[in-house]
Amino acid sequence: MSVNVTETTGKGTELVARLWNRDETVLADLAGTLGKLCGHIAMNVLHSREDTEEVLNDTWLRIWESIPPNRPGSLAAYAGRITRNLALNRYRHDHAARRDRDRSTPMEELTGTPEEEAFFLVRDPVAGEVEAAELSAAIADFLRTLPKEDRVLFVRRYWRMDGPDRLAEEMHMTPGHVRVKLHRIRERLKKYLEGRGLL
Amino acid sequence: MTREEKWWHAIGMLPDDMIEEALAWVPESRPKPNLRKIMLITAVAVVLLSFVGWAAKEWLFVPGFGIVPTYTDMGVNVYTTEERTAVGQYTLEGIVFTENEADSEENRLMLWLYCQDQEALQELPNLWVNGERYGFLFFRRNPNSSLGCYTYTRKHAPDFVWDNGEALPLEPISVTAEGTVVTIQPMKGTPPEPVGEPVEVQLSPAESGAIEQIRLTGEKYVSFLPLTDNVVMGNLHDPDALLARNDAWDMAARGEFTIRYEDGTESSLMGFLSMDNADPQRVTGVLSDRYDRPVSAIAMDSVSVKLDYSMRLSEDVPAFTYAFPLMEVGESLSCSERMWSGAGLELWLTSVYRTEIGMGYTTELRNLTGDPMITDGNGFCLFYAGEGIVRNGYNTDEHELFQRSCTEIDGELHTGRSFSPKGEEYALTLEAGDPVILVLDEVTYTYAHPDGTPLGEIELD
Repeated sequence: MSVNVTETTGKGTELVARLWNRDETVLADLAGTLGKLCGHIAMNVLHSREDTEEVLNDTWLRIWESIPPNRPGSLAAYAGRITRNLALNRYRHDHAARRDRDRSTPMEELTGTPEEEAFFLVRDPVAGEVEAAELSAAIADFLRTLPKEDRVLFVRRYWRMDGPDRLAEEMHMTPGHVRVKLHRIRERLKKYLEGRGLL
Repeated sequence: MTREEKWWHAIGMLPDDMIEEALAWVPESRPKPNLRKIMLITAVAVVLLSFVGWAAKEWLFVPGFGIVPTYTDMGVNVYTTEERTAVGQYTLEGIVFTENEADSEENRLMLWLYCQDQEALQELPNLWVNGERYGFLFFRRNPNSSLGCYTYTRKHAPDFVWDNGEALPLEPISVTAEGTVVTIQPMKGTPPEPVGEPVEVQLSPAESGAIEQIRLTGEKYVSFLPLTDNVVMGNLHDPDALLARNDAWDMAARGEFTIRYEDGTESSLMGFLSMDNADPQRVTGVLSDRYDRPVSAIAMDSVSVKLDYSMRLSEDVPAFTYAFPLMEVGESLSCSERMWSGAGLELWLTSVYRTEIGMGYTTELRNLTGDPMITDGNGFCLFYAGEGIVRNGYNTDEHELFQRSCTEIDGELHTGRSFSPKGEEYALTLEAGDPVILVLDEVTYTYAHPDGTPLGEIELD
């Protein structure tokens, strides 16, 4: 999937202005402008067309309710963040009860297996917690040290939740090459965070 | 917050420019097109289109075929009347007209419908009047709102509220929701003329409680339309606290405000105020009535806010129960269940687990975008007390927070609830109507009854 972000950015500024003016017709344009990106993210997490549709609807409602007072600089990033959070909620809601471990999120590549996660939680629910914001800032600092292509690969994998096959197609690599590059980036990230005392 | 969730949110909060860069990036060289694949796809598309055209011609206009509009382009969930039933007492709260000079045919009408029973409102997808379908539920103010909105263009507006461009007198109207007759009562009275330029404005949330008034001084301009006598749950955000949490936010306060005038009259408005990060003393804002009609613009030179206050999140906490299977000591289960929401915040149950002394659970307070509330030194904790005290939550300064909150527990400002095993299943329950107060101060959030007593124990044994 490709997104013309230049057009999206310009359109996003206009959409934010219309949201601030409480123009209810903006909802249809939100779906038209951001539906592809947000739908892509939700689908990558949920693998369900119906669930994706609901998450998208909730995304537009959240945007309507939160702008104003918020005025995001990048509506695409803002909407994508909301979609990610909503999709995660839906995923955990659907899979926690039946302890479905057949599927995993890309985030487990970074955090370890669910069993490791559970052990971590039980052992001490708060010890070692680092605020997500602090961690985010550290990851961003690390990513800025990478070549642009690697940085894009990381963000598309873990922010937009693209699978290796799609990444390979979009970035003109083989799926194996994508996996190897991601593995190396993760290893470097791990060392970087350990060096900063965050792991 | 679990480790995976922390990583999830950390990735989610990467800078906007990094996201934009990743979305925009394209490789320098492109692969050669696969002509064979293109030809195959084209052939399949031609066959499919031919079939669709034939099918449309043969079937589309056959009586009884039943084309049901879905309005998916509006980005909202829509259900047909065959799927949902709504039985309840509804009140027509108001009608809002929005003008569009460019195309009068597209002037829009928003009809707000209030229903005491939130669930019934959620189940009312279509508005039926005298056997005719008049639109679909456009959206609710928020997921827990009792207000639903129907929207129409001028030419499609129901005759009972709109006739040749003029609003009809609002008379009681019988409305059917899938065969069930309900009564819509008209909005009481007529809106008075706008009033402008009061000398002084005092803003306070609808619930007084321990909340300090916010006094705004300086130059200002306010005009407004008074509301009906129905009350919308109010809330208020602390400007300084919000700014401290996230510098990117420019929101200062949002909620229902009561404006008091020199002659003693009052008016309630929904609205928000924004604080300029570059000039924190500069506050601007817009107040709107409950139908989201902007009715005023405010510009103020200064704002005085008392930081330490209690805030009533919601007086009618919806019932919440989360059942989960029997666990062994040391076992945990991640989950994601919204426990309640209000004031632009949501409280989510994120995990349950068992320790040697009982069951515990973790929660997370999230903002409007679904991100956890992250602060420097501030945070959210929910506690429960059994024979010992198990603490949950997250905070960079959790030790200090823990000590502080423990003191509050010992001082009977208890802030959580406990639950114990029963048979083969546990259940965590919040009773409907539980009053909950979010106590905000410079350090922490805590939950308790309005009088400071514990939220209560759940006895399941």
